Amino acid sequence: MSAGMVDSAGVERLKGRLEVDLFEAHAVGPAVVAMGCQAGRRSLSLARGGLAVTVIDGSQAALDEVRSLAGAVAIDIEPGDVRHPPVGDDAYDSLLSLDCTAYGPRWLEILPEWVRVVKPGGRLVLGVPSLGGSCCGGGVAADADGIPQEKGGAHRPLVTAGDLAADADVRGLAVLHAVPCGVFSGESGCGPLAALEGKHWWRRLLSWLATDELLLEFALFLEQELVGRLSGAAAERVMVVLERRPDPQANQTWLRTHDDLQALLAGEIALDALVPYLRVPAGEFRSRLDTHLRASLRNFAFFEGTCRGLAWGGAQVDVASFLEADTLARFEDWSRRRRLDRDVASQARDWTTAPGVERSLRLRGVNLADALEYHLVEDLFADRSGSSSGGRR
Amino acid sequence: MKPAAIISVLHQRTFSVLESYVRDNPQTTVFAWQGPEDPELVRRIAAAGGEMVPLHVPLPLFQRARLKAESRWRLSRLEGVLRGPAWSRFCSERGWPGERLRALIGRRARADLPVIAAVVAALERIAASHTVRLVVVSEDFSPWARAAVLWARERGIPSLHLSHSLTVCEPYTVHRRIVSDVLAVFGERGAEGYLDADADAFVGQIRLTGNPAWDDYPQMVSRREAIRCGLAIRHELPPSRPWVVFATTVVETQTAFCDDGVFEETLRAFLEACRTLADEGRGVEIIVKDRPPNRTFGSARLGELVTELGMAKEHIHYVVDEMKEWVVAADAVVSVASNVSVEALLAATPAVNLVTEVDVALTPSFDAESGIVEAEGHELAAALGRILSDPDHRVRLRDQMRRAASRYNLGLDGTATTRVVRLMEELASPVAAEGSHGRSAASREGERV
Repeated sequence: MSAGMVDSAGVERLKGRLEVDLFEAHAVGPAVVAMGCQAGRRSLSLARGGLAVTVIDGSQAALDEVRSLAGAVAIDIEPGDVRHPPVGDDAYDSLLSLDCTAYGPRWLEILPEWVRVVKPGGRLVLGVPSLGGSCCGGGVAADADGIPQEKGGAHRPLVTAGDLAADADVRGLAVLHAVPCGVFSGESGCGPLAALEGKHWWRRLLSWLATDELLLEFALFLEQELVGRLSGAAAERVMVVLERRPDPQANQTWLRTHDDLQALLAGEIALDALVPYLRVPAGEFRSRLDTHLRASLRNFAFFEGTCRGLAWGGAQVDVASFLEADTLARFEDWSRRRRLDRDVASQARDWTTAPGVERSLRLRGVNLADALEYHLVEDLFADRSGSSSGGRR
Repeated sequence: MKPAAIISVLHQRTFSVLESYVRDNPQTTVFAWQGPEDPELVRRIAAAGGEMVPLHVPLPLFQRARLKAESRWRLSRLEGVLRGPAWSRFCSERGWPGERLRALIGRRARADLPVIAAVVAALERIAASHTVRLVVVSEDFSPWARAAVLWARERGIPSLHLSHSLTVCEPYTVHRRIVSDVLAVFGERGAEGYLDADADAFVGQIRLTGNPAWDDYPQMVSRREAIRCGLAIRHELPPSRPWVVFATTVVETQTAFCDDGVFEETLRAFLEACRTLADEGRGVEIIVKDRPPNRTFGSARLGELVTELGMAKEHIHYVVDEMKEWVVAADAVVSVASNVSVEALLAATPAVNLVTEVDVALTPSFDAESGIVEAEGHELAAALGRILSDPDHRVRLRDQMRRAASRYNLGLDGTATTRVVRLMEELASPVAAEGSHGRSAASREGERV
């Protein structure tokens, strides 16, 4: 079936915007090195903004593609092994990599070589797997030896937030941020929206990210203003921002905050509890969310679908705490209708299994009761709504 | 050896498969729920070498009396069961309102059970005189089709559910299971809802065939201009002005997301959009294509809305027939979570899915790569305006539609009827093996999902 599924242009667009926004927010200085062509493609916006970007990758074909995408934009292309970048020490202000696990599951092992090429005070912005939790919302699939497994395997983080803080101390780095990123673009089967990943309806909905500006802005809002403010276990992927300066105290502070947020994901998530971590007060967050939800029916369906599929470990999301009254009423109305559909379907189908029913209505081996289902469903809805016809055809 | 027969509870639009099946399998009698009332169809089936007769013939008086007595007896037994302590316990364990359910079930059983029992009795009579090779239905959730499929299963006769339409939303309530041995859907898109509901349960039952009712689209598209000229003459439409067709929608009665006002709300949104276009100097011919049963009500309601909105009536046309012709000839087609959008996609006619709350709640109908534009009511004028005024936009949409088409309807070659007939033949019990069980779904060949 996969061949016939809608393509992922929408999700790619969202992912691209998220990554570029993150790079732009956290890269420092004029000299930037992108490790791997994926990062190279994303960092073209930095080059367009006047920064000096070098792209390093082992694949000449991939480098040619980046050069072609760059067009007239000046970038430096360096063929070479990103695990041992062919550049001198302290050469760049910022280093970007989108997928550190491409160079080995224990991505911390690659850091010394990358730290080497960044100037003191420079930044490393690294795309890595989730830093905490287990199964939903946490980590890559891996066996006991740390070998990544197929979807559906046991999940545990290969690098935890504690590992990261400890490693940063050893290497003279300060952990500035670990931003959960790409909750809507997960495909590993272990992210918080894993329940939706294989659903065709969800892919149809996400496909509109390619053309629907309102939906794209809404998804960015949820990613950046909510998911991105949570712990490194809130998505299956995290963008870690490190600075080349020793600051063990700051690393401990970061780790404590991360653990506090991690604890939040194990309980009930209400807006008020998140306020210390959000960029805006609760009222403003709620109001901005409401504006997005009112912007289009598709936005509302996207949010409602997300809430239906979301599983942050053991957390229960108190959706009501995030919504304005009118919007909450609509949300609850949809939930009520979904429950009603489920209840009515169950009643109209399962009553036939009640003791004695089949014996009463069996004719030539056929349980006639089963053929009553269609009209009985209409009757049940009409009865609940108080309408005699159930609607006009 | 008894003569061969198939049982059809197909809807009219897929009767072509019956004719083709009989042509390939002459001497077959088609016992049909719908169709025998159409002398032309009966003649064509006869010309193909078979016979079409009603499934449900009036019974002799004594048999009718016996059936009636049996139904009364069953209803009375059911009433006894529903008033007993086991029923109360059963409902109480599930948190169901037992008394209320008892009343509703009793009423429904009194209304439908005699007919359902008569259908089963009719099928038994047919089986006594014929070797029934296959039961083929349009909607195996409808009462009479369900009765036929259950009866077939009991007797080991294969059954095929040929989709009546492409399920653009998620299957809800009664649509959420496949009772027939095999469900034929039009393309991968038609299977998606079932796979989303329960892939493990359904994947082995689904086959992709294309829709026989859409087989004439390739040929119609090649005659687009001629069809437009014909419609222009018959309906006195100026061929030079843009034609925008609105296909009305119906109330879904099988879900709690039912919106009783959807017919009027969507028609109003469409008319308002057309009025905006006219105000902007981009007048269009407005064609409201309604369903035949709505003729009186729909025409009157349209007239009221047009008056209320202060629109000129001269460019507004109410029609109930020739859906395919309108789809092929239109400059743009607007519909609501409908197969009409899919038909427009097959005809590469620009199409707008008018998005309603029910539509999005029951999962989105279309994806961004389908070429079908989606617009809420307040966006419809702009969406139509762009389609009508931007040739590059139209080209892009048509390109997308052509790329997406095979996902919606397998083949695109006008041969879905052939594929369905092949599937019917593959499923059908051998004539000689009377009463033997049909082959298991897992062992059958065909276009798998």
